[in-house]
Amino acid sequence: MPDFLIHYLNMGGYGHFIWGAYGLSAVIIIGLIIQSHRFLKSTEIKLQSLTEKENKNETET
Amino acid sequence: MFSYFANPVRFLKLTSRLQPIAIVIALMAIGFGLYYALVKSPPDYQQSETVRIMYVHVPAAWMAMFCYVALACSSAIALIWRHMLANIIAKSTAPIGASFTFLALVTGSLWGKPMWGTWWVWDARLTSVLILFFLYLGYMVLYEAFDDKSRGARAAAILSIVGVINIPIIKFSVDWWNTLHQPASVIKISGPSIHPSMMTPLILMAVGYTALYFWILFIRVHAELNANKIRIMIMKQVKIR
Repeated sequence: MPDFLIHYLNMGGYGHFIWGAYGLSAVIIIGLIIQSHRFLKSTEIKLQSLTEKENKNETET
Repeated sequence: MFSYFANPVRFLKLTSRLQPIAIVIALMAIGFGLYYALVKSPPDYQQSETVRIMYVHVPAAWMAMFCYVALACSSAIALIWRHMLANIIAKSTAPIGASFTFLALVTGSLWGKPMWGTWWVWDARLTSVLILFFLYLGYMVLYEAFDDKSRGARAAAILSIVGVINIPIIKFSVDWWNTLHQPASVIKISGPSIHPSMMTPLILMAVGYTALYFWILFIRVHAELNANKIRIMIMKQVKIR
């Protein structure tokens, strides 16, 4: 690894505090976006299958 | 106008147009904000490089309070006018606000250790933010605690409205009590006392986090509306049988 990069990542000796804060922020925010998308997708799939079931019942009756 | 958009179909139509705008603003503001925060902005003369934690800590703390006010206002609207959509907005805001509060607490702790020499102190600012986190958790637990969803929503809404008293306590805790936490340096009557080179990434990240809130909120509101429809359809099918 180049020296300037090691120096930059070290952040004056506070690298693990600073990168820890940024890393955790990224994990929580990206995790929240993914979880919200999954929640939406799961409801869309369920809603679609229920609608299909309802339509099928209506045509049968 | 408020009643007009209280209709879920109209609201979803509106959010489908606003969501791409929120995504673009969030990505651009956070992208540029990170560049300014980690590359362009200088180290502080007292706190050196650790000041860079401020650019994720302070916007998270602002959003923790912003989300709580949004949660309490939506809950009040849901209680007074019985708007189902207001309840859904409040319910969808809670996990987002809890996440921002958690981030404010942990990033604050990561900033506190090198600067104060401790991860945590039981002073007014930190304790009141911890209470805010518990209020969010309490809201979410209470909402799901009843078989009758409307009772859970009402109980959670009352808790959130009572808990709003904590917001001015958080804001003014650094002025009212002795604390290790630094006083306000951006939002104050005499104007901000922070250099523009540090103010730029702070504002960019705050704008990005706000847009991020709306982005995630729109997804969650859409999902909650779907979940409501699913519940109604299942109940209908059970009745038919």
